[in-house]
Amino acid sequence: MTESLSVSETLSPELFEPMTIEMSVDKFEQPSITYWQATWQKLLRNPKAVSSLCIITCLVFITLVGPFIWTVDPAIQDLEQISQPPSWGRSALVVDDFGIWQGVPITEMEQGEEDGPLVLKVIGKGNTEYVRLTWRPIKGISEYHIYRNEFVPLDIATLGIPLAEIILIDGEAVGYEDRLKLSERDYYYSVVAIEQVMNREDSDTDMPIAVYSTIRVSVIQGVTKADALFLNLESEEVNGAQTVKLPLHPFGTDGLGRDILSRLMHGARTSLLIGILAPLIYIAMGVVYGGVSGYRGGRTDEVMMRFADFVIALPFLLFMILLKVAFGIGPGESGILPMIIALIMLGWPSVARIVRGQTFVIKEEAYIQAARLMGAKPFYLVYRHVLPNVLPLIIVSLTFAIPATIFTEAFLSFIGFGVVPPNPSWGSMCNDGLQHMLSTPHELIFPASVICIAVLCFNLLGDGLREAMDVKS
Amino acid sequence: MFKYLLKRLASGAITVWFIATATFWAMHSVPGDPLLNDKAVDPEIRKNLEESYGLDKPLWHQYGLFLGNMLQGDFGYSYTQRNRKVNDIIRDHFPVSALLGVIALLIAVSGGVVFGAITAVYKDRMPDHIIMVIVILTVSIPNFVFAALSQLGVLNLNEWLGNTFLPVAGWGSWQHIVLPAWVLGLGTLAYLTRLMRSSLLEEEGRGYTLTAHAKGLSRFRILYKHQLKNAILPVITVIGPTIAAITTGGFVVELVFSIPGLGRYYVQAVQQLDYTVIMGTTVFYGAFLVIMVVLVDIVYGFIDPRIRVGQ
Amino acid sequence: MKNEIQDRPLLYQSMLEISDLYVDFSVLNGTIHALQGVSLTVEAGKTLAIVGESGCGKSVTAQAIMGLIPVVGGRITKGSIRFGGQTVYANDDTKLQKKEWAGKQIAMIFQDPMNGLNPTLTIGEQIAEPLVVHKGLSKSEGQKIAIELLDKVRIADAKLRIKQYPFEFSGGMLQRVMIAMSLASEPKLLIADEPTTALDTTVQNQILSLLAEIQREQSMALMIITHDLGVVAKMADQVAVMYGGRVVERGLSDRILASPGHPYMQGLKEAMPNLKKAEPLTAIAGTPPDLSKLYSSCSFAPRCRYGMKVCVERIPPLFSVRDQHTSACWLHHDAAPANPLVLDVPHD
Ligand SMILES: Nc1ncnc2c1ncn2[C@@H]1O[C@H](COP(=O)(O)OP(=O)(O)OP(=O)(O)O)[C@@H](O)[C@H]1O
Ligand SMILES: [Mg+2]
Repeated sequence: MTESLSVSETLSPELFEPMTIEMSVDKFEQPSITYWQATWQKLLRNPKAVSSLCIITCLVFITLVGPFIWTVDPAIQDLEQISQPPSWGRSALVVDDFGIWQGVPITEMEQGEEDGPLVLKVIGKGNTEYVRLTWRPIKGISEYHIYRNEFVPLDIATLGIPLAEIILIDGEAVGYEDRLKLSERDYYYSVVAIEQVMNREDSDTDMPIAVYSTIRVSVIQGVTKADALFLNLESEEVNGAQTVKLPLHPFGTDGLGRDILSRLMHGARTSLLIGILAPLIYIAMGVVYGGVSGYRGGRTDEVMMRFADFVIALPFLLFMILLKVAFGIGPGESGILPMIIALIMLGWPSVARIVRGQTFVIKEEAYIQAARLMGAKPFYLVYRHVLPNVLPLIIVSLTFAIPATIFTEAFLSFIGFGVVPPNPSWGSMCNDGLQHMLSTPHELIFPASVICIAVLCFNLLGDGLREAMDVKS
Repeated sequence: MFKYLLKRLASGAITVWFIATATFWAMHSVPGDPLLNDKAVDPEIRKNLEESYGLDKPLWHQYGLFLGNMLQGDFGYSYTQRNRKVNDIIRDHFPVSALLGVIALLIAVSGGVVFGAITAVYKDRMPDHIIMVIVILTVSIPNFVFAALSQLGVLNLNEWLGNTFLPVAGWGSWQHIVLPAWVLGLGTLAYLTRLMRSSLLEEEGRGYTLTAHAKGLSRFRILYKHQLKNAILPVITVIGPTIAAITTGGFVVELVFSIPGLGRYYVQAVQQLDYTVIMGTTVFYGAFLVIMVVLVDIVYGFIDPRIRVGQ
Repeated sequence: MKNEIQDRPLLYQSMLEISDLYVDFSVLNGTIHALQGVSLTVEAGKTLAIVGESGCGKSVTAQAIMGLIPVVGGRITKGSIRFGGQTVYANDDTKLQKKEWAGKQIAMIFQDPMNGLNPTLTIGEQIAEPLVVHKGLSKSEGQKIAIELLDKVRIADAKLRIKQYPFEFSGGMLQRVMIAMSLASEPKLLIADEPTTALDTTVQNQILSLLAEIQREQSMALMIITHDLGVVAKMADQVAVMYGGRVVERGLSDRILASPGHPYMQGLKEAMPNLKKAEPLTAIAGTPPDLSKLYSSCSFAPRCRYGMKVCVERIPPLFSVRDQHTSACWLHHDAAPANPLVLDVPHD
């Protein structure tokens, strides 16, 4: 062979001496690690699973500790701040207490042209407590309609329905005070002078020529003196106006003025409690049931598995609803207990099936047979031998059962069968938020994202665990 | 095959009976007399109720009456809607739910199979990564959030286009179906995509796939001629639960999109404690779902030669 | 049959030639170097047996020939495969193999007939598929040929059988079906990867004689992968012995069986007292090589009773032992001692 010839020239004879023992032994040794260590290492190599695990840990931590740090009561309504978007602290102008505002006496107004355009003026600063308008009346016209729009009105036809119709009585003050559900934004106020149609001869042909004028008012947050005092708000002087700091709502408030951050944290307690407790209980039940069924085998096994199949076939939501009705829980009462009971009653069979299958396999193995002959108790066998074998399967099904249960809770709360006000849960918060979805989407977006994040993390973690533990789905 | 069919039907019948019984006992274990609720029951309705349920008779007698009525498909009168029979409610509103559900199911199954196949063929490449990220996000979003978000999106789209591209609520034309059916099917679509993917990948490791490759067949032929049928079998077994998921998902979608389907009326009935409607509709839904599961099992039997030929 | 005359010269040279083939698999914790420089040849019309213990890369070699490496998730990193005048190099896409070779000129049957057939298609459909796809036959023509092929592999009631599904057949019958399927396209080379391992002994013999008979009839080349030196003795013209992802010995089978040149093959032969009786390989002391490392030495050295210093330093090339017999062992180097010292094995 050509190959061998070329090599033979370079090889020295001592290479052909017998090798020594050290040379022959493979140099590297695999460190022996347990199954769980290997699983853990594999899991750590999966960035998605690791970050999910971190987020879940954070979530649980926040749920447990958060309410002690952020101590705002989730049920308290902050009427000054309804449907407020997230912010780092807002302040409000301190304004007069509620009282009747007469308007500006005509005598005090500046002189203007008699028939000139309507000139609108805002008295004071427009705030969420009130907006005060005044104008110089047009001679001979005593009826004025006030309109409020959120966008610039294009012409008189787009003004909509008037806020008020004001008829001036000679010599009195002119003005209008708007106290109707003001929020912090720009409004366009229009005042239309209504000419009396009957004053005109040619009323059939000509429509009354309405004179109108529009003014933009930027409404800022206001709080009355009395409220500021009552709420014990810290006041300060800014640019000569007295303002107060309003309570902080970092995630904003919902449609009833409740703090969304606090509700999210308390809601997490409900959602995670149900999401984790129910699966834990039914998985335990499934292990016992499946263990017994698989261990006994034969007729017992057949009957028990028939029953499990039967339970699996039951439509879950219908039973949930039935239980709720049977418990006599009307709408508006909390349904946490029936929810957990229904989840448990209907969740166990799938776990039982898995455990039973494994028990069957393991039961036949020689060492179990030997242990049985030596008189080991069935319970001991299941606990000692079956359980460790099915544990990976169980852990994986738990990580998938948790998000499924969180989903179910959210779904039920959403249609009003689960947790209901004032108790928050993520699902019920979504339900509340849906009503203001168009104007203040954050009320929906926060709880919805928390559900999504939690469920996503559990799903990714479950995927990672399944891969790491090498469990078939 | 015949024996298999009979067995499935029998177990289905037992399940329906159990649901009916559970419904009956649930309604009768409500604390207090449901008819003596603080809500005043219309005397006319009350008369109807007493007649058809034999409310003055002992409980087991009532139970017999109830079962008898159910067997004849008579669910009695509504509690809150004067002189309206539960049968009428079901007849009027179930077709709406069914149409919505069938379209959603079609979207979900066809989408699931197609996307599942794409991800499996392009495993660990771009299309797979993209689809799987969307899928995992989708299965993590509750369908009511989807419903709301899609409404919001379409509203903005309509505004931007200046005309109504798609209506976001109501019922009546095919345009009304598009959005809710999509929302209703999406979660299931994502779930089925995942299932189809793993099912196909499992087929990828099977001996017959290697044989097919060794025959020099194209990737596409191997997929549709060899793997698809095998991979779809496990997908078919979950169609039963899928129908249940779409049915109950319909409750929410009908609520959000103001669709006059049975699901919405069911939810309303529970909220208003309209016991007769709850009973009737629960049993109806229960029977419907069980029948669907049995049907799917039978279809499965026809598709899988191992069952059809009778092993 | 026109082809045969043209191919005539090929009879005397190799029709399939694999040289220096490396195949890697990426697995969860690293890479498995399943093939580490395999070279072998198959001659037209002859039978080559590949032997070696489990995990030495026999199946991977077969898969590489068929272009199945990407399908099973591996990568050809080095080397080339030549067949019928066309060559596939490492890092090539395997389209050529699929288009020209697989299912047309080379057919393959697998170890496990139970899983090798599609459970949801009838036997007839599966047998006729290569014809329908590659030769454009109609369905009914395909079925007719399928019946003929089933007759040829001696399955009774072929007419009825083609309409049945795999689960209605026994393991031995399925392997016959697989053979029939592989014959459909009249291949020049048939690769049989442990065709009888999953079957019981009597059926094994029937399948082997069937294969031998068909090989003679159709004058095609046969590459049979086996654990069984009995099979080698009975069927093979040539043999290639694999160890740790390499071919360590190759040549005429009766020469190698009579006096193996590689200590590994010697061990195999000694472990099997009666060659004429079909018996599977018994284990040699020590552990098989760890393929997660790419060897730069003789991977058999740790188990070898003639271990020399050179063995742990260099990979032995194939040395010619005699005519038509080569062996990758330093003992055949000119500088090697004629009577090497015998060590205790295994060393660890
Ligand atoms: N798809 C794959 N993925 C990862 N590793 C593989 C794969 N196929 C083969 N291997 C590895 O390649 C090496 C050779 O495998 P191969 O199947 O060729 O062995 P073999 O010689 O056919 O063994 P047997 O006699 O048991 O069939 C083994 O170590 C195996 O672990
Ligand atoms: Mg092999």
